[in-house]
Amino acid sequence: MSPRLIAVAVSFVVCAVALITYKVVALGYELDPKPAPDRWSVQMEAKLIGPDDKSKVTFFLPADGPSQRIYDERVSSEGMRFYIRPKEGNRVAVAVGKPDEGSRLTYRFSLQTLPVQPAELPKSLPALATAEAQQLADLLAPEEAIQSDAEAIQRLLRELEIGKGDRAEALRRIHAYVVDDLETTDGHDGAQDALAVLERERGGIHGKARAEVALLRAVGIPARVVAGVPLAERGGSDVVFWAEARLDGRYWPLDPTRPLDAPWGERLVLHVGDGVAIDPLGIEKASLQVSMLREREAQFQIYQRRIQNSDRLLDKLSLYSLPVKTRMLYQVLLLVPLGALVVAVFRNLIGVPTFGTFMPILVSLAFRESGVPWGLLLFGAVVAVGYVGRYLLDRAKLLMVPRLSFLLTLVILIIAGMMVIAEHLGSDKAFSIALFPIVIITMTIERLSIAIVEEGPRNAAKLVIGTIAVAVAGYWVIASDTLQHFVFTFPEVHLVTLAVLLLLGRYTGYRLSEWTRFRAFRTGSLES
Amino acid sequence: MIFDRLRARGVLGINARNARFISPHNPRRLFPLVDDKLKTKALCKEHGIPSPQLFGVVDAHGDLRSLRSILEPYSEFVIKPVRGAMGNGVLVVVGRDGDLWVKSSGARLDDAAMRHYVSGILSGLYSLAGNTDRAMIEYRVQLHPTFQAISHGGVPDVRVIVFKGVPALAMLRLPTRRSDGRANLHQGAIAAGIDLATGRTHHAVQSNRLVEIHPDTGNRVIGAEVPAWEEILRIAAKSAEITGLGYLGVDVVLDANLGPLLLELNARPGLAIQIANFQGLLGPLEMLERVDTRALDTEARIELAKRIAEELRPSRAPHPAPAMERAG
Repeated sequence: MSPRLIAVAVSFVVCAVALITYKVVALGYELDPKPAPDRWSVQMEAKLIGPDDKSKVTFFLPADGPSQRIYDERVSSEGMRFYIRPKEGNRVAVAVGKPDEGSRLTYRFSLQTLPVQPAELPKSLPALATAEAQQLADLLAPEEAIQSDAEAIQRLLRELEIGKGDRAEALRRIHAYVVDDLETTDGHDGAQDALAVLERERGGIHGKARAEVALLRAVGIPARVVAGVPLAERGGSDVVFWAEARLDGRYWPLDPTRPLDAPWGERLVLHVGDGVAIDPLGIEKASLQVSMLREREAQFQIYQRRIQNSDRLLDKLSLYSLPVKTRMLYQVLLLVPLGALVVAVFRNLIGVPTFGTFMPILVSLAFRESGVPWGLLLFGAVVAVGYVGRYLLDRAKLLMVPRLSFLLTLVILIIAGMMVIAEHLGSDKAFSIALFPIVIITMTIERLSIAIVEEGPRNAAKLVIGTIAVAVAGYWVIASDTLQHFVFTFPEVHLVTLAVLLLLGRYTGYRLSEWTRFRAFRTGSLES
Repeated sequence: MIFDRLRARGVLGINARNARFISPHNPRRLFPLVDDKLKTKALCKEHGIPSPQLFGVVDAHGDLRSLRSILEPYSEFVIKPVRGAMGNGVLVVVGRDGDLWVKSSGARLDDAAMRHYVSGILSGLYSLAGNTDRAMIEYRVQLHPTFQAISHGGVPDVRVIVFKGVPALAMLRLPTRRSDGRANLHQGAIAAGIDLATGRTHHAVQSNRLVEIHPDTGNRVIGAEVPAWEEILRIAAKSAEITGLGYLGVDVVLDANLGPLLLELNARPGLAIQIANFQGLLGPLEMLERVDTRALDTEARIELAKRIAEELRPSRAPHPAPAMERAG
C-alpha cells in the first residue's frame, strides 16, 4: 500500500477526531445525549361493553400541569359525539351516542414531561400556620369518600401515636402505616372510601390513596388524591392513584403501595382531586387502558432548539439547521455510507456474493421500514415468486419486460394479501410493510430471474443468501438509533468512513471465502 | 496468519487480481473490445487470427421476421448473445428435421420457439448488465477427434491466461454430462491444467475434486496432448497484443477441420485455473512483472512462457534459475 494513501487516510481520521473533540469539548455536544425532557406518545383507550341506545361515557383526560405538557391530540370516537370539558381544574372527555358492542374510544396525544426539581423531605416541620391553613382549606376539608373528620380516624391516629406537632414526622409515619399495614387488593373487596379501607385494613390502590389523604388531612397536612399513569418504555397500564401532600410550599407525591424512598419515575397526571377514572352511563361495563411509547424525536428537538439560538459557526453549519422533513431524510441518508462500508467488508474481506453492489443496502433500508422478520418473510415470498414465476412464465414465452411486470404485479398482490392476513390475525404491532419500497422489490425480482437463468438455481440461491446476510448486517447499522444520532450530530465521522474505504480499496490480500475455495493449496492436495 | 499457506504457494486472490493486475494493466476503455464479441471478431479478422465464421447478426426485434431467411442456408450453427458471459445463452443447433431445428440435446425447435429464444437474447436476458443485446449466429465448431475420448456432449475449449503478452497458465475445459455439454466449470465441466511447455494435461479437477478419468467416457484426462499447441499459444499471445489488454483470458477452441479458433476474450478471467493446475498464478505473474515484454516478438514471448513454466513446474527445480534475466 502506498505511503501517500496511508497518509491521506490518517489525515482524514485525524481531522474527524479533531472536529468531534472540538464539538464535544468546546461546543458541548454530547456523544450519547440523554433523552431529557422526555416525549411520549400516549394512547388512552376506553372499551365499552354492553352499551345501550343512549350511552354517555365520561373519563379523565390529562391537562397541562407543572409536570407535563399535552399536545397533538387526536380522537377516534367510532360514531359517538366526543367533546372535552374542563372540570374543576381538570379536563374530562365526554362521549355521547349509540356505540356498537365492543366499541373503543381512543384518544392519542403526545406528552412532554417537565423536569421536577428533586428535593429532600424536611426532617421536621411545625404545625401549619392558621393563615396558610385557611388558604389551603380545600385540601384539609373532608370529602364524601375521604372522611378525615370521622371519629374512627382520630382514634386510629391516637392508637398509632401520631401527633400534630411535627408534620414531617407525621407524614412519614402515616405513609409507613398505609404502605405496610394496609393490604393492597385489586379494588374489588368492598367499598373503597377511606373509612371502609381503614376499618378493613385493606383496599385497592384508590382506596388506599383516599385513606392516606384522610389521615394526612386529619393531622392538619393539606393533601389530595391524584390519578395518573406510570410511564414505562413501550408499556401499558391501568389508571393508578396516589396521594399528594403539601408541605413546605410544594407537593410531595406519595404512592400508597410503595415506601417513601422508592424511586418515583415519570408519571402522567390524569386528574387532580378525588374522582373515578371512567364513568359509564347506560353501559354495562367500561374499562380504561393507557399505553405509551417513548418518542425518539426528543433528542433531536433539544439540539435543534439549542443550535437555532446559537451564533457559533459550527452550530450554524450543523445539520440540525435543516428543516424537519429534509432532516428526516438526511438522518437515514447519512447512515447509508456505513451500510456501504458493511457491504465492502462483506464483499472484499469476507467474499460474500450478493445481487448487485448496493442491492443489500437497499434491502436493509427496506428492512428498516418493515422490521427484519416481516422483511425476511417478504423477501422469501419474492424469491419464491421469482422461482415459480420463472418456471411457469417460461412456458408462456413472454417477452422479458412484460414478464417481469407480470411478476411485479404478482408480488404487489401478495403483499396486499399478506397485509390483509396480518390485519385479521390482529397484529397489533406497527405493521408498515406497505412502505417496503416497491423499487427494491422490482430490482430483486429482475436480478433474481436473471441470476437463475445466467448462473443456475444453485448460484442464484447463494446470491439470495449472501444478499440477505449482508442486508441483515447492514440493518443493524442502519436501524441503530444511537448511530443515527451520532452520525447526524457528528457527520465528520464519515471522514473515517472514507479513510477506511481508501484502505479497503487497496487491500490486495485474500478474502475469507478464498480460504475454503483454495483449500487444496492449504492442505497440499485435492480430495479425490 | 491463516492465509500464509496460500501466499506461500502463490495463489492469486480476487482482490489482488483486481488491484494488482486488472486495474493497472487493463484500461477500462479497452473492455468493449472483449465484452462485445462482434468487435473481437472484427479485430481477429483484421489481424489474421482465425475465429468461427460469422453467419449473421440479429440487431433488433424487427429483424426477427427475417430470422428464417438468415438461418435457411445452414443446417448447423450456434446462436449466442453478443455481450453474453460465461457461455450463458448459447444455443447449439446440430441439424434440421424438416422445418424444425434440432438442438444438441436432441430437442426440436420450431420457428416460433426460435424467435422467442432470440428475442430473449435481444431483451438482454443473458447480457452482462441486463441491457438490450444483439444475437449473433456463427459456425458450429466440430469436435476434434483427439477430444472425442475425453468430452461429453460438447466441444472442449482451452483457456489461457496471458499477462503482458506472455501466456502464464492454461487449462483445458472438458464438457461432461453434468455440465450439460458445456465447458462451464461452475456447472461441472472438468478443468485440466495444461503444462505450457509441452501442451500436455498434467492435473485435472471437477468441482474442486481431483479426477483422473472422464466420468462419462472412462478415458484418462491426464496426460492428454492438446493438438496444435504451438498455434494455440500463438493465438493467445497475439490476442493480448492486438487488444492491448495486459491481463487477459483467451478462450480457444479446436476445430476438427480448421484447427484452433479464437472463441472469445475475457478481461476479468476467473481464478479457478489455479486449482486446475494446482499451481498459483502469482508465481508466473510476479516473474513477468519484472520483465519488459514489449521488446519481445510473439515467438520470444512464447519461449519465455515455456521457460517460466518449466521453472515453476512443481515436481522439479528447487533452485529456480532466473528466466527473466536470460530473456533480457
